[in-house]
Amino acid sequence: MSLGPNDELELTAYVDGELDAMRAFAFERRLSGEPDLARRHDAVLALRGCLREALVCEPPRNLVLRMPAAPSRAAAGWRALAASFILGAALTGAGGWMYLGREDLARELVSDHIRAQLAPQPIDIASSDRHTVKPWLATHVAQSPEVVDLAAEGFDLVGGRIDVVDRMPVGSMVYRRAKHLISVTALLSAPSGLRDSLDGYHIRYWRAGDLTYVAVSDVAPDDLETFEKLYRAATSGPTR
Amino acid sequence: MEPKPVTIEDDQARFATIVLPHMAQAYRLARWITGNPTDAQDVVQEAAARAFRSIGTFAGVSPAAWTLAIVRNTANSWLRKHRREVPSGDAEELADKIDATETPESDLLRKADVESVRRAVAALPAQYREVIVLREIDELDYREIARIVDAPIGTVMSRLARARRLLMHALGEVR
Repeated sequence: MSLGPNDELELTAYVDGELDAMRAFAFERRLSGEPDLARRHDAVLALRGCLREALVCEPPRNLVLRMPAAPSRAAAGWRALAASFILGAALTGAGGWMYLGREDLARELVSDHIRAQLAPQPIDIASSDRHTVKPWLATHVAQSPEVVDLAAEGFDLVGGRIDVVDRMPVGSMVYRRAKHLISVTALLSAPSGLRDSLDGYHIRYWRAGDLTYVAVSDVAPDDLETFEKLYRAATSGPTR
Repeated sequence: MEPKPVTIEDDQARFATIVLPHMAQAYRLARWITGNPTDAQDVVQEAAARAFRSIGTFAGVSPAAWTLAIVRNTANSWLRKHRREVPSGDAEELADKIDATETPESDLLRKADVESVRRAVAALPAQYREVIVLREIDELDYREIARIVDAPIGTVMSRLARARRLLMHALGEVR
C-alpha cells in the first residue's frame, strides 16, 4: 500500500484544517484503517512541532522603524522623517509596539533621545570638536545652535544629529556623562510648560538667543541641572 | 462643508492600527525568508516605510494579510537583489523525486535539533519557505496565505505538501 499524490494533498489539507466536516470525517476513517497514511500523518504533525520550536523568534526589542514623510514632503529628503516607531518591552511594558505620535513635544524629544540611544550609531556626525559639529548642524537645519565644550566639567561632546520635531528637522547635540547620553535639541519655537520628566527621562529647557534648548537624559536630575547651568553660562557668555 | 484633508497625522494613526500590530509576524517572516536577523530588520524597516507610504490604498480587508504581503514582497526583492535564492526548479525536481511514501519515523523528527531544522528550512526555495512560516508558525489559513503570496489556494496547498516532503526528507536523512 502506498500514498499517491492525491493522498498527500488530502492529508495536507486535513492537517491544515482546510477540509470540510464531511471530508475530514471520511479522511479520519481512512487514517484509522491505513497504517502508511497514519504514519505520514504523525510525521507531518511531528514536523510541525519541531518547526514551531525552531522557527519561533521575536523581533529585537530595540527595533526602530523610521517613517518617511508623506509623498508631498518627500522633497525634504531623509531628514523629513515624520515619525518613529519603537519596539520595546522596556517602553511599553507589554512587549508591544508603541506609537509615538506628537502627543506633546516632551514625548517627541524623549523619543528622539531614546531612538538615538538604541540606534547602532546614536549620532549622525561623530565629533568631540564643537567647531566640527556646529557647522555640520548649520548646513542641515534652519537653526544654528550653539555647541559648547563642557569636557572639562565632565560632559563630553560626542557629536550631533538631526531629529524631527513637529515635522521639521532640528539639530541636536549629544553629550556623554559617564555611561549616559544627553541630547540637547535646539528649537526655534518657545515652548512652555514642558514636563520635567517622562518615562524615566529628565527634561530641562532654557532660552538662549533666539533658540530654546531642550536637554533630555537619564542622568541624575542634579547632573542635568548642572549641565543646564554650564550650557547656559557658555551660550550667554561674551562669545554671543 | 469641505471634506477634511488627509493629514500625515491620520496616516500615522492608520499605520499604527493597521500595520504595527503585525510587526512581530512581519519580523518573523522576514527573518526566515532572508535567513538572518540583521537583514530581517532592514526588510521590516523598508516594508514598514512602503506600507506607510501606501497606507491610503489599504482596502480594509485583512490588515495582517495586507501588511505581510508587503513584507513578503520586500523580502523577496531583497533576495533577488542579493542573489541568495535557491533555484526553485531544482527543489521542485527533488521534491518530485522523493517518494511520498518515504516517511521518516515521527520520533526521528521530534528529536531533530533546532539547528538542523533551521538549516533544512533555509535550504527550501523561498516560495516554500514562506508558506511554511505563514502556515506552521503564524497559523494562517490557506485563503490568507494565498492573498499574501498572491497565488491560488490550490498552489498554496501543493507548495505546503512539497515543502513538508522536502523537510521530512532532509530531517529524516540527517540522522
